Amino acid sequence: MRKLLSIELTKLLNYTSFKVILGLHLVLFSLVIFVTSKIDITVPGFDTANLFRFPHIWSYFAWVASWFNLLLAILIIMITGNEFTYRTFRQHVIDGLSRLDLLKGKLAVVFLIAIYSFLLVFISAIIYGLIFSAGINTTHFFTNIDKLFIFFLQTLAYMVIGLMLVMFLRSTALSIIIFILIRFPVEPIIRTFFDSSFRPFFPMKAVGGLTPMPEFLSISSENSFETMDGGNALSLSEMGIIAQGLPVYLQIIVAMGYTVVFLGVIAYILKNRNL
Amino acid sequence: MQKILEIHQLSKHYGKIKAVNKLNLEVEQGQVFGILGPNGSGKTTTLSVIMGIIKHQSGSFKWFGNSGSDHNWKKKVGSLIEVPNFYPYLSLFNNLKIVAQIKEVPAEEIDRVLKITKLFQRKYSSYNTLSLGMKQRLAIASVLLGDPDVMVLDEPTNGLDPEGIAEVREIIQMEAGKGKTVILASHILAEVEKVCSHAAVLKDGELLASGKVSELLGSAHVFLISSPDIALLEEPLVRSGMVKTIEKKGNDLYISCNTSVTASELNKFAFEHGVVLERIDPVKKSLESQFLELVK
Repeated sequence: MRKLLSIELTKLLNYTSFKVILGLHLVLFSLVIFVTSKIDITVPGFDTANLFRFPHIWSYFAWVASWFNLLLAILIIMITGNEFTYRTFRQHVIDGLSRLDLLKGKLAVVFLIAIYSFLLVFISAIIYGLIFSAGINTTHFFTNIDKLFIFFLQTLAYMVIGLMLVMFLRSTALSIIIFILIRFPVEPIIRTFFDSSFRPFFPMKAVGGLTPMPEFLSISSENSFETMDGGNALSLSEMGIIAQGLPVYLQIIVAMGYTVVFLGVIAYILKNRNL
Repeated sequence: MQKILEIHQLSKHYGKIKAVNKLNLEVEQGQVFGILGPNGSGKTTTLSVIMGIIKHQSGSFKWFGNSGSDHNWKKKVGSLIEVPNFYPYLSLFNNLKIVAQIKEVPAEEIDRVLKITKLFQRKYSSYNTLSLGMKQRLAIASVLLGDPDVMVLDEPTNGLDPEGIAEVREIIQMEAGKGKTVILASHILAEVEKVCSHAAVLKDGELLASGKVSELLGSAHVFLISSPDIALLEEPLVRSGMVKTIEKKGNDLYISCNTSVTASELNKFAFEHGVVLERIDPVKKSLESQFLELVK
């Protein structure tokens, strides 16, 4: 495994597009959180800075970072597409890697990128959280940090979907286009033909649902508005404005289930096709 | 002799087209084995199958006597199939570093093979700045990494200038001289004739002939004899029943004999008939004419 990782690193660290896209990812994420942290809405009872305080910051940052998972999926598609364009997968097998090693190498890259994006969100959240929570009781430091781990799983899942597409299609451009089209509008349109209870089980929806949009209103109001029966008056999902997702555990099981199945598909494709 | 490669009844079809059809081949240690055939005869397909990049339909092959899916044998085999495959944005050094890592060969090897292929000056140039011939030489450098016991080369002189072709031939002969086994696919007869000890001829995926190059060439016994008095010899030769055909060109006679006839017998025969020969040459039927006859 170390050998495979070292081989992948030689390819990546000298690849300009890799560095550019990763740089773009870092800059875009940092910009979005910086800009939104400067928004100051002064409505009595509401304070958007709450989004940047522990523990809400974990789910907010994870949600923002999930927008840019598309870039990471494109990145893995490009890297793998290159192997087909340059016919280097073929050469690797000639030189002595097994077909499964090809998948293992790319999985190592997927993990590496996911760890990078995890650390990026983690470190940003710590910095902003400490700034915004200054003087406030910070015992909630790591409550809700599980949202960040769920985000990590989501990053992995998106990249595995991208990996499967490019292994199947062997073309970078085609894979990127199809990836984007499936996310929107192909899968959403197909979903409308199904019953709403079934819709969360579609792959893109299942993976996307891992990092739901934070409840902006109730977070910024510190949950101070309660309904008669003790519910949250400002919860967008309870109001029916955004669709209610699956329970978190089920969401994780479904998304990870897809990831494992897709990995199986990739292994099958690699094992049985000519290179 | 240890068998390096055994191919048994190997078949590969692309739809209805039979790229390789029930092919049997054996390569032994130390042979320089040429696989000859016109374009599209199944040379590259055969090599791709035995290197594991194309799936075949039936038949089997064994490397070093093992048919398992164990990939360790590849560390002993350096291989160039069709075209060089490298990362265009990486330097020669990094490209070879990747191959060295796969083959688990120390990085010091890289300088050695770059020197052999005369690319050392370009060690840190990126691959896409190389000329076609240099790319081909880099592919040969990568084959030489780790000093493999077996080299599999598919059209290794593609795109090379005459000097480059001679250099590649030299490299192959040098490796063969060290007792290495070389499997060389080519449609260029001269290439096979000059470097190979054994050869197989393919056409439309089928094996037409195989054996020692000298045997493939020497199957017809043709002698060139010459003398100023050659006319005296023509008739007795025909009458003696030693020769099948005779062709006269000035003072020279081209005679095609039965296989048992030797040069000394011919000389004796001529002397008995009072003719002193100036010249007796066994004429090698060139691989080219042999090849063209076979693939017809």
